[in-house]
Amino acid sequence: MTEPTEQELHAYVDGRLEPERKQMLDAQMKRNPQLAQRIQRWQQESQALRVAMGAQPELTSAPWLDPSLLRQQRRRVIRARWLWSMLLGALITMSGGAGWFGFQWLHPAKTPHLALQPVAMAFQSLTELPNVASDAEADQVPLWLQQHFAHPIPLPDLAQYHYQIKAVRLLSGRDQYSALVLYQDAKGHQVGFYFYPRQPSLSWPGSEGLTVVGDAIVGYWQTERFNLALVSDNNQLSRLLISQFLR
Amino acid sequence: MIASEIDSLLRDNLPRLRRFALWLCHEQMAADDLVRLTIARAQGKHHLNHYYSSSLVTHLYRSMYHLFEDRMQRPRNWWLLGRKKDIAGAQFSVASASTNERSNLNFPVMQAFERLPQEQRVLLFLVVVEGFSYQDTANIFQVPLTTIIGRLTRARNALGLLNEGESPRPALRVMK
Repeated sequence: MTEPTEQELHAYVDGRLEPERKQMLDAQMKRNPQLAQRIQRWQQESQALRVAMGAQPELTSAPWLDPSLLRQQRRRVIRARWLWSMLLGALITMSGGAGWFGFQWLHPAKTPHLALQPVAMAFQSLTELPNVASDAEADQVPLWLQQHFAHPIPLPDLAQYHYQIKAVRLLSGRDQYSALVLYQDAKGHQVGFYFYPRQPSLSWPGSEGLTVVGDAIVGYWQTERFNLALVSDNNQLSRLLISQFLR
Repeated sequence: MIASEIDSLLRDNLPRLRRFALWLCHEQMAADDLVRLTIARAQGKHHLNHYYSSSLVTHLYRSMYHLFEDRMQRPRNWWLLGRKKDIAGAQFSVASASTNERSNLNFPVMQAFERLPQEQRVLLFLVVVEGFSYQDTANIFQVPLTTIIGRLTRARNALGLLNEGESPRPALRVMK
């Protein structure tokens, strides 16, 4: 006959032992009063616990704990949270976008317009040439230029700033001319006047403005017939001159 | 298994769950909240396969007991929840304080029972009152069967000693 295990002792107390093992344990308890006493006490206490706990008042029904109801409530909460997070996300995106566009609007990009690149290039290439026009020829320049353009050229009057025409270059485009007239004052400071007839296919940065292209500063404006620009080396004097002229 | 079937199973077990929760928390609102959390966990998608692969009741009890223990041990984590739902974590630590409020303290064995450590009380409650098998009880506590048998022996011995008016030995053992 095998000794009862600890688990079998508990099973006996809780009434879960198989009948043959129970008989065996009953017999063993008769021989071993100490074991019998221990088990009986366990049994009494368990029974007392069962009675005491069973005496707890019955719970009233709790409709607020119904699983389906709880599920619905949780879904509502999750949906509300989802909506709020979407709203928050949309708000963040919109405010970010608004901030970005606002910044762009307040601080427009400083990259010069592509149409102004040839202006600066023409000016820089022409300033490297030797003096090609004498004083006498300078008077002929407007007339000579006018031959190549259908409409009267609004040549700027830079004489008030003590600038005289020094050189002129006619630049051939795809189907029309553009021209650069170089002016110079007594100190050798040079300003170029660049223009070409307006065409819808050729872009121009705008009706009026002042911008820096590489080493040159370009002030541009428009008339009904022409796109025009004054160009010079980027220094304080040129900036002053061009902005004054534009005004 | 569709949601309505799960809910129906849970509804059948609701009275038992509420009883166990109330027994653990001693307080109706905290108990209801514990039941709510347990049901939410059972309804959560990640737990479905786990739950219905074996005994539902065992898993519900296990879930509830561990939720309760989490709250007992880490009340700080529940601070926001407790504030929001007006259930302070402190309500879960009333186990020893509110024994006088228990209606069944006129049973002498209950006075001894209430002096047991919480784990032993839960163990005896599950085995003796709720009638869980030893294996299911081991599953609820997430320990091996032999451990549960050992703990049961210690719990019953301690209850016997307390019932006789003695204090049980300190719960320290020499480990070799």
